[in-house]
Amino acid sequence: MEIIYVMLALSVILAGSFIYAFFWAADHNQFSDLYSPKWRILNDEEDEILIDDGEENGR
Amino acid sequence: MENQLRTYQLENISCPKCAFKLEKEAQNFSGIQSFDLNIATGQLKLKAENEKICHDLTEHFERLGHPSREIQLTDKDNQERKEHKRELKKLAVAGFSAGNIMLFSSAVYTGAEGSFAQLFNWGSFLFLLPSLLYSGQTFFNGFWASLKRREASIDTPIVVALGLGTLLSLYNLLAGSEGIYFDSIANLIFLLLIGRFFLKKFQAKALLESKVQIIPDHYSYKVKTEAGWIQKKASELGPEDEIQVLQDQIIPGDGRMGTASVYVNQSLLTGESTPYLVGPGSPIYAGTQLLSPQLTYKVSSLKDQTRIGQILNDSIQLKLDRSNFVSFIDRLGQNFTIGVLLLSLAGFSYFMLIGDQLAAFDRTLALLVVACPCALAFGFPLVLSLGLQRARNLELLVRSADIFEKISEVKNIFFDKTGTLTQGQLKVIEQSNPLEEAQKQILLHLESHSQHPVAQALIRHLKTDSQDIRFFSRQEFPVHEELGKGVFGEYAGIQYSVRRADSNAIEDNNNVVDFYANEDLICRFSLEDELRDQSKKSVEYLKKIKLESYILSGDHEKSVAFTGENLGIDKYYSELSPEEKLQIIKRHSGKEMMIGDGINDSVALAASHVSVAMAGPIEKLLQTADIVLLNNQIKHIPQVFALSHHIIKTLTWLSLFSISYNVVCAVLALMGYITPLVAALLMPMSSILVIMFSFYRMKEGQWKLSM
Repeated sequence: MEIIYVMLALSVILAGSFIYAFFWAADHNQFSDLYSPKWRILNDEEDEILIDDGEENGR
Repeated sequence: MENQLRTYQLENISCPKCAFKLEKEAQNFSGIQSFDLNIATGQLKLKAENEKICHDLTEHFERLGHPSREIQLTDKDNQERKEHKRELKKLAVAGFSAGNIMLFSSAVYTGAEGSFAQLFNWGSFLFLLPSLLYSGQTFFNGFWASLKRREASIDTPIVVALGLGTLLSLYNLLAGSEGIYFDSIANLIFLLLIGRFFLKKFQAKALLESKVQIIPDHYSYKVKTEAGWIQKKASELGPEDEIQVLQDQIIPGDGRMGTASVYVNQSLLTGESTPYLVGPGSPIYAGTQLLSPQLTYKVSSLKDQTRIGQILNDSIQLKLDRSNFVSFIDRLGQNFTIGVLLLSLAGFSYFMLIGDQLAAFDRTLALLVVACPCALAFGFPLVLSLGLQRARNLELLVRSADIFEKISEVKNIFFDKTGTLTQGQLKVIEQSNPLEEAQKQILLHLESHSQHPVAQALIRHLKTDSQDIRFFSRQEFPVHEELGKGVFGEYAGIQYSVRRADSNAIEDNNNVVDFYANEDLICRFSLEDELRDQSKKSVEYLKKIKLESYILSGDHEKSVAFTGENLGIDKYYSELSPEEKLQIIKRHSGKEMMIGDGINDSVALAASHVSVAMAGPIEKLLQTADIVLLNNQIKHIPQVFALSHHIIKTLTWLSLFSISYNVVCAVLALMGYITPLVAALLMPMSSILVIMFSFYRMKEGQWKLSM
């Protein structure tokens, strides 16, 4: 049953990394516009579209 | 200032296609570092190597039909954005904690014992810390703020429950005894945060949608396109569009006249309802009403950009003001909260005294969590902001939510007559004897030379029952008008005239005109200001809901009596000066509503309990009146009563539900029927129920009258 200590540690690391990923996404404006991106995938034109690098005002 | 992120509001971003097109166009510009266009709002965030590129790009977009203006994001906007992000993060952390703790505690609940149980409980505690210390800040901040105001807010019992629950659970964990509720606490934080997050979103949306529109989106106009004239909705119009406006329509955007000239009603801007002549090349403003048969012009600006739009934006700040009822419920909620705290203290002491430590802890915690009157705290602001939004849909400008309570108290309604109940336009109501066809032609010819309202009314009257009109030439029938007297002409040797009736002949000669041939009276017409279509229906409905209607007018007794009779209002006051109107309002002081125009009645409006203004320069109306009725839609007066009564009823039900629910749950918790975990689930659920109930009750079908 000692394996449980390893698993506990792993679960903490895993959960922590998800939280980190979410924080990163929130800080990079991934949630600021939930409307436009779903239309963007419907755009058939091949050209590459400039992508927002997501920096906040004044930073 | 270089490399700064700029925000622009682009116009006419109505479909994803336009947005893609602009994105593609932007690629032809070098030096753009980021380009982020929100399709929903038309907001563009642009970052480029230097200012000139931004300038060139927006100019290019303007040529493509998407003019823009730069928005200076205020500190408040930035703060709100940051706040939104912080809330999302808090929610994520709380969810992460709650989920993991549930895993650990389910192991304990299903029978883990000894050192494993100990391990899992410590694990729970560990995972609770980020939730409590990071996500829980929302509650701690609210608690701290209310402490400073020396009040009890809804955060008070929550913070007490969080603190008490964590400390005692930790104590029990160290002592190895029962009663560890890390899971309840984590769930409580998570569910409460979810509830608040969505409530905030709903409210922001409701307030945003209750912004004022002078031209409702569904109004439609003819627009010139390559394929000819097509009908478009007001919301789809763009600057530079050539638009055709028909008689009585509201002009949708600012622009400039071409070569023609038209008459418009500018009362919204100036308060003056006499027709105003807009000559060739003169500016024509949105919100004015076209009186000429039709107008074709090029729009230069729309919506917020128009003169009227700017006036409105500057002067309207929607507020969720607290009315008497709301502040009463507020106080009730506070007292209730304090009561809950005292009751928990009493319960805790009692169970400690009888030596049942576990019960003391369990039951107090459950009581604190379950009895918090969150339903009140959530439901009230939501119902009020939805109410403001609904009022907007009725073409009413309401500035603060406390008006609903005031309206529901109204007992007497005072109407101004001219322009309020009536259209402010004369109509022939009585003709002494029928005219021969030839006489009609002569009368029409005479009156067609005058712009006087009486002449216009006579022409409208005669045209309705005469099929073919013979036109006389100027030579065979010369006519001249003498201002203030009448119209005079000569035909086939006979002198014809239409003039105001002799004051000796009748007592009230204001709206009576005579048609003479060589000083022989042919016919006498009585004219009256025509009632608005909806006046009668509205008054009837108001009577039905037991409201007393009065007419206050500066007009002659006879014409006021006539209007009153037509509408079924037997209480009227005539020949009043503005000061006398004020006296009458004061005499009935208490719960009255005054509906009038913003200029002549402004004194009386200011004195009344609820004031509704409907004609006048809108800037002034917003200063004097509680409610501004747009587009003279008097039929919305009964609707606003229905809405207000409905809102007050909904609020009453909400508070009854909330309080009875909390009392019942408090008793059950003290008796030990509700465990802290169940309490942590019940409390947010009741809040969600309240939110759903509020939305359901505020649906249009729930309160709107079918008139």
